[in-house]
Amino acid sequence: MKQGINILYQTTKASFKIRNAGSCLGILWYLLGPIFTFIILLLVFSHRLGENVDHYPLYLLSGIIIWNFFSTSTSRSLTCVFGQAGLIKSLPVRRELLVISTVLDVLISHLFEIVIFFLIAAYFGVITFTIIFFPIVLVLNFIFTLGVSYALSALIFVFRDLGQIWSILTKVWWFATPIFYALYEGGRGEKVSMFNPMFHILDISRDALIYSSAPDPKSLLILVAFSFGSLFIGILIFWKLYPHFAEYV
Amino acid sequence: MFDTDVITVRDLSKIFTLRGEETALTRLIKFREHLRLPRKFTALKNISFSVGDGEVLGIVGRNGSGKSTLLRILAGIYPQTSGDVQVKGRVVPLINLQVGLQPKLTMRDNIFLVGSLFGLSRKEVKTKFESIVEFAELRDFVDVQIYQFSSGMLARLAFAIAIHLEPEIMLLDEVFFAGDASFREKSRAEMEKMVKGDCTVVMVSHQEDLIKKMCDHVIWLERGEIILEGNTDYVTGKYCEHTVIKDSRSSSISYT
Repeated sequence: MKQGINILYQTTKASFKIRNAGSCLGILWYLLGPIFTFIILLLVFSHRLGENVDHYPLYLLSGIIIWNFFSTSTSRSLTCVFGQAGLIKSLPVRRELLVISTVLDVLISHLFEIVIFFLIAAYFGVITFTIIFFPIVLVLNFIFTLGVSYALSALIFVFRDLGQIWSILTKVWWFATPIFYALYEGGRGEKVSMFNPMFHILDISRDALIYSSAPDPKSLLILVAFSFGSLFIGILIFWKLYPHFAEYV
Repeated sequence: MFDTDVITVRDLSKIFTLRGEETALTRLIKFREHLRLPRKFTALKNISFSVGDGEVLGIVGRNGSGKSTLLRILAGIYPQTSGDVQVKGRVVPLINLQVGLQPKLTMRDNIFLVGSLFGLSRKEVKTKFESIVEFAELRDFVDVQIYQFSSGMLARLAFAIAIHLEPEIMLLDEVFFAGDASFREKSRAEMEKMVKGDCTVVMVSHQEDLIKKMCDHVIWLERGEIILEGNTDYVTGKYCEHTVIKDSRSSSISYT
């Protein structure tokens, strides 16, 4: 257990350092990505999709960074074990640690993005007390993402083209999730979105961060089910496949 | 001489399933072909042996005889297909010395990272840090990113970390000694000290002199089966005889 935590700490630190090219300034570089997406979408959509949305810039920014956490984690999880052939063929390092450390690493940069969000929110004068609910949904988002990452990191050993499949899937998913647009009340989109865990994550987060309202219990319940369901299935798939990882790379 | 067995292997077999490149796309297109039974390859067949506490076991055999597969099963990297494997103690597999080194990190970060991957705690690495740097003779480069190291420097770093891991059971796969002559001599002496010490060792090597010098007993593997097992001199003697005859025969064919 203690050994596992140490490995987790060291590998997360290592991948964080590598990503930042060894300097704190490196953090700026990967914050620039979401910020540019944000600015472009804001310029394009604020007068069309954003007219009926209160605080559209914040709505959009929260959507982008929360989605980013999910999509970056899952896409990096595809290679976090599969890409480490040398390591897993010569050391019996517990494979799940590689997955957890990948998601943790993305979580750290996500926290930086959240800080930037707070700065911008403060600039717009939006400070809510329901912010205390945000950590709950952050944890649920982490659990959901971790589950998907577990499944992907293991399934790529069986389906080598999972990377391509997943990049198409996430693109479709991005458009199907209200990130830069809002759903009509009572429309068809709202019914479909009930089955979209990312919708619930965004909805509850935005309620807490921007619209000062407590999480809708029904939405929260669905999200809890999705998160733990995802973690359960993810671990199950991982556990089924991991003994043979070293033979398949 | 060796009262307790720390490694016990009984009736161990390993069968690999040989797979083609499998993608979701090819599965969809040729889903019928999937019904065909995949090819099997038997890498190890009914292997049984045991290694006592502090004993040094050598494994010899030609390429593809299953030596590395056996080491990986002992290390817990591959699962066995059938049979029983018991390994008691802290295992350090030195199958690839440079495993886990990250080119873009400094030597300091790498020592901590690799140390943790091999199961050392932060505190243990801290206490050994100076000694590792000293042994690698790389004091001036502690905060240099290691992609700038020469291959000799890398090998020295990797070896320096490896000998500080303090294993109870060490699995060595053809560990060769890199670097210049003096470092090679130093690392060879250090490795011998470790092997001759309390540590239990299973080593695979093609260097007969190394096997003869270090091992207490030797197993000769051929096509996944134990052909001969026993006293070092006896087994290596037979093995050398066999390979020399085979080599001379094949060379005489190729020359005529």
